[in-house]
Amino acid sequence: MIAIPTSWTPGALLKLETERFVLRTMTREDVDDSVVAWLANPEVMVGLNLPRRRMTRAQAVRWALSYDNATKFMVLVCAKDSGEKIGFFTLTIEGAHRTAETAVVVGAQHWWGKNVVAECRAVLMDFLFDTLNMHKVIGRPHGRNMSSIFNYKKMGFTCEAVLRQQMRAIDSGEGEDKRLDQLIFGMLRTEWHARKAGEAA
Amino acid sequence: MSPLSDTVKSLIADALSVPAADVTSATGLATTPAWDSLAHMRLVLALEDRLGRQLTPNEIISIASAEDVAALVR
Repeated sequence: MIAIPTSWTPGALLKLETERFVLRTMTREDVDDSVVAWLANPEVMVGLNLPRRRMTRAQAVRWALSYDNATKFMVLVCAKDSGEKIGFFTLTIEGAHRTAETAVVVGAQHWWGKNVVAECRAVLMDFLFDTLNMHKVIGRPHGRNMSSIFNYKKMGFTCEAVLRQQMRAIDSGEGEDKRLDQLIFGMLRTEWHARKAGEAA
Repeated sequence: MSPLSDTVKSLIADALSVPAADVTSATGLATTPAWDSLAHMRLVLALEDRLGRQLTPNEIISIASAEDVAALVR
């Protein structure tokens, strides 16, 4: 059983654990060459449809520290046994509506296909619903992000909308005019708890 | 529930790196450990090759089981 904090002080550093991973707030010290390399790797960033970011370490640190652990979290994922940095999640909170959005980068590519996202997102969902009292969690992958779509479906999210040609296809190598659909996946708090109860039964 | 064609079994087996004989109507992303995110990506791309076109978002979203793959290949 993984313990989830029962209360939260905005701004405090986050630390959660799963069976195989530690999830914790990305700190200045965490932003090393491996993290900077993820941000510059188009194979990694294409899943987020973000332009690869050729950042210096100092720029990457500033970016990471812009996440305030109150309304925006950047959560590093590390292997519990080796401490290897694997990737990171971002969580964005819309407090007025009690909704949150998640996105993920698995930067260490040898971890692709090894259930990192589902295992880690599950504990983050517990944190969002049970600690931060969110009502709904959404994700917005683009329509060609097969891995992300797989993970949302496997976790029981509902695809609520397809926004046609919503995004420019950044770094696709197919020209400026290439467009991508964007999908909205959503999970309600009640659905998450029902799913967990079903798994436990 | 109709039997899976050899084409469907082969598509799924190749994507999941499992023997075709192991692919049944019960094979799905929720029940089959080999059906991970990379396998899913390989399967969608193989389906697109087979059909000669890119799948629509709704078609991609529909894929969760061998039966869903069969419905697209029909």
